Amino acid sequence: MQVHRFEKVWLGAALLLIVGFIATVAYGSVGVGVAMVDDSGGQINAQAVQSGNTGTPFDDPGVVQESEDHYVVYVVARQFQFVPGSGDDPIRVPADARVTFRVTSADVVHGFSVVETNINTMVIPGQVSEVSARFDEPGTYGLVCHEYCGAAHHTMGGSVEVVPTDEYESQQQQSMNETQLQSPEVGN
Amino acid sequence: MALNRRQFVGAAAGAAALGAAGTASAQEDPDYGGWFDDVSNFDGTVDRRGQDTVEITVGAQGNNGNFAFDPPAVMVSPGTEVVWRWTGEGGGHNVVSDGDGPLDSGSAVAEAGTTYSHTFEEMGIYNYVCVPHEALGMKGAVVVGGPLGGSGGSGGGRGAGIELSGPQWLLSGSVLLAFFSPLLFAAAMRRRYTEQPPATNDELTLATGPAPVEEAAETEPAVEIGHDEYDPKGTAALVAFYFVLIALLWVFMYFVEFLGRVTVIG
Repeated sequence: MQVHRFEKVWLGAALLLIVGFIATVAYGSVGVGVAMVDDSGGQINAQAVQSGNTGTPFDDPGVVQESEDHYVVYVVARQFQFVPGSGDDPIRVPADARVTFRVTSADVVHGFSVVETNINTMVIPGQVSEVSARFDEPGTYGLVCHEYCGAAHHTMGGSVEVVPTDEYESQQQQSMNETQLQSPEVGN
Repeated sequence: MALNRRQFVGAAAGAAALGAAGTASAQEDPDYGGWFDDVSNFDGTVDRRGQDTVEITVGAQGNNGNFAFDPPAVMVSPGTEVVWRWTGEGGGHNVVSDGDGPLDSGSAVAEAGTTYSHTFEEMGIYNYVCVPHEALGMKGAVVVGGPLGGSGGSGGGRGAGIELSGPQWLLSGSVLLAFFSPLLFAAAMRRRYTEQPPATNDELTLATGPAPVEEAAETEPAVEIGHDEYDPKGTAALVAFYFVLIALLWVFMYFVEFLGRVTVIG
């Protein structure tokens, strides 16, 4: 069989391209530190999540500062909202810190997808989905449920607000002061 | 006997209702402005005037599940305490005013037996929703006083009847035009056909087109070259372009879109 030298060149180039694809994927999965979602979140009683007596932070979901540079966001997904996340209760996290989302469902299978990021997991009743990420840039990200969960699935969404670290800390301070001020009034 | 506050306000409201509607006994629904259009269990306004407390069930059957208030629309006297009682069905619910309004039971709760109450003093229509299930039609209204005709606790009602805005005219016009265009086309063809006189024989032959042309005679090639002597440079350039394109797409997809984003690190 006679193969023209031009054909030899582009056959070789095609093989090289395939090797290049495989090499970049290998680099992405080993060198960059992209992690997969696994079952490290553990299990939880979905009925207890629904009634709010799990004895875990899921009873009063929100952001918990685990250490200097590590924040854990507890989110309960239910028909048809994220708590916190939906409505006028966005998830607020600081930029440049490790943020772990621990998400569980109180009723049916939901999805937890932070738009324009790779944060994307199913939320299964009885299971805690755990994903960690680091937001470098402050900004507002959309949050959507991307697993069909019922008649108003299309309305289920929210937002994640990433604020600069110093701003986040001063706001935390402020809100803590406010609650301290407010508590005597509540007593009245 | 001195009237207490509730009786006094109630009497005043009754008088106002009489004045406004003429006959307070012949009840008609107030103008909710389409508020109940997507509420499956809405069946007119339930008149509970004259009672001190009125109870509304939260999580009642309706809207394809337990996503309803029962009764969805209730009419009460001023000074009445309205109590919302949770059935525990249909997930977490809450009671929040639509727009500005006095009702806010906080975040959604699912527990059976939960109650929330509000005492309505001002006359008006108070529209409210269950925030998580508003899209399903879990909406209600409390009418305080009597039929008032739209204005009240939240924004005013819209007029009845179909009103088309500019884009809606454009859309419905296009649909109608698309629907009738075959008829218009048929009419135009018919007109053209009747305008033209019947074709004569000469014209028929003209219409079939010119006579087929004889095929060009085959000529001998000027030069003959072997397999390796010919370089398909144009094809090579095209293939090279495709390679560059695929490589660029890969770089943007993998390194920019995937690795460049906020990514999962644990």
